[in-house]
Amino acid sequence: MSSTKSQAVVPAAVGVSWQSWVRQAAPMVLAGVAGAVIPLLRDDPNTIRLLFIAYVWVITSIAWNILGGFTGQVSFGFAVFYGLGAYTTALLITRASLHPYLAYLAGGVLAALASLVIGVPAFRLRGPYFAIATIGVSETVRVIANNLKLTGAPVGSGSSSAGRSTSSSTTTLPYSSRSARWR
Amino acid sequence: MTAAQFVNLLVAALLLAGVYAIMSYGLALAYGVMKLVNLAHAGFMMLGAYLTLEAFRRLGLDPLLGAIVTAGVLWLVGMGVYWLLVRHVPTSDEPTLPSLLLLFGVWLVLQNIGYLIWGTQDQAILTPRTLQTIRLGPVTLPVVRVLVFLVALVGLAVLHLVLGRTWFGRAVRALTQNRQASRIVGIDVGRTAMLAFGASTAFSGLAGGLLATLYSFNPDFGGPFLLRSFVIIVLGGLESFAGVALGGLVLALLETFSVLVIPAGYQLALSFGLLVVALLVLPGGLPSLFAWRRRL
Repeated sequence: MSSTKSQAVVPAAVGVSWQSWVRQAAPMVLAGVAGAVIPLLRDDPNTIRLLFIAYVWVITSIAWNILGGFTGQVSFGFAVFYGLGAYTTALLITRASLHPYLAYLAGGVLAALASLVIGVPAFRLRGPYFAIATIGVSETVRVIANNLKLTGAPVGSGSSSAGRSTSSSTTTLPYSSRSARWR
Repeated sequence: MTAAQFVNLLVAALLLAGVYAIMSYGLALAYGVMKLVNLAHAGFMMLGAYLTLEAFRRLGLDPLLGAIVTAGVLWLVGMGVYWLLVRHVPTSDEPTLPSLLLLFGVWLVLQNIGYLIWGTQDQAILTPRTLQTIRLGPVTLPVVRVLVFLVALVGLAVLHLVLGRTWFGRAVRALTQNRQASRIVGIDVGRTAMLAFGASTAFSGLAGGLLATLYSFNPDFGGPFLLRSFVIIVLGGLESFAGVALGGLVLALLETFSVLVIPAGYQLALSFGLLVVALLVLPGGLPSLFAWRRRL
């Protein structure tokens, strides 16, 4: 799994020719443009919701592929970072009334910091042992999130009300704080 | 803590350890024979719980008897899953990533089948026995837990006999030790693997059925128990069958006595912390600790 993918990507990264670079980049640019233009053409909540979820899956898949595809380390613990980003963003918007876009960034930064804490010990393991350890981390964090007052325990927390009043694309924000469970 | 409380907790831990050992053997068998990390274990446990519930509701079968019948049904289901899916993924001396992902997928499918058929509500199996207790001096024994422990003991005894006394058991042990050599001496690896995978799911189902009489459950049910089984077989040293029983006991003791120190909600976090620590500092499990001491 890992070898074929890395071979496909390395030539573009090294920059053998600009044509191959364009061939690699074109679908991504197209996807990006489509994501930007379609909501302008069809401004109904269902379309935006569908696109939003599709792009969330794209991002989470890319995130997983960096680790699982390129390095071959299968992790079942991505829900930890997904949930951490969601909670950070939601809490910053609702409690600190930060601007949503800044809050998204903060969520990413905090998740990256957390990945250092988890990654340094976990990467001493390889393959299936790494995979099992990440399941452990994932369930541990879920249990903690289910018990902490800060995260609203099992009921959860949401940024929907704050999101509606501060953002132009009103329908997308509520989805930024779904539950911490993602499998 | 008074002495009576201590004894009560100790007994509770011992009774729990029986079920923990049963569910971990499900995982350990599949790992030993095929080097398969059976993530679908959780799904099979959930299926076992619901089948026991259905047998209880529709046929009026006693849940403990139902759990045993369920184990038989899941033996067939497991062999079917092996024949349909598992035999097609590559296996080697280390667990392979395709098999990991396949079984993770099987787990998700089973979980969603569970949601489809039985919905999202929590279910529980309540019999007149559920709340009965026996008093033995200072010790209070919940009847269900004692019975579940006895059924678990019978299951373990059967497993022990099968592994120790039959040709199938011998083949399983040989495959666990060395795949290549087993092939050379003429063991039918495919057939043994199919039977062993069936046995592994049967144990998952039995554990699921037994746990269903102790706890409430929903289609998400297996997850925490899958992870407890991981902790146990990692503690037990992935391939040692005596180690698994020991691992079950250690985890049950730790979980039971941890309620004195930390809130019960964090029990799971403790076990998974233990899992990560065990993987990092004790890759050979508890038996390696003894081996190390013997070397000195």
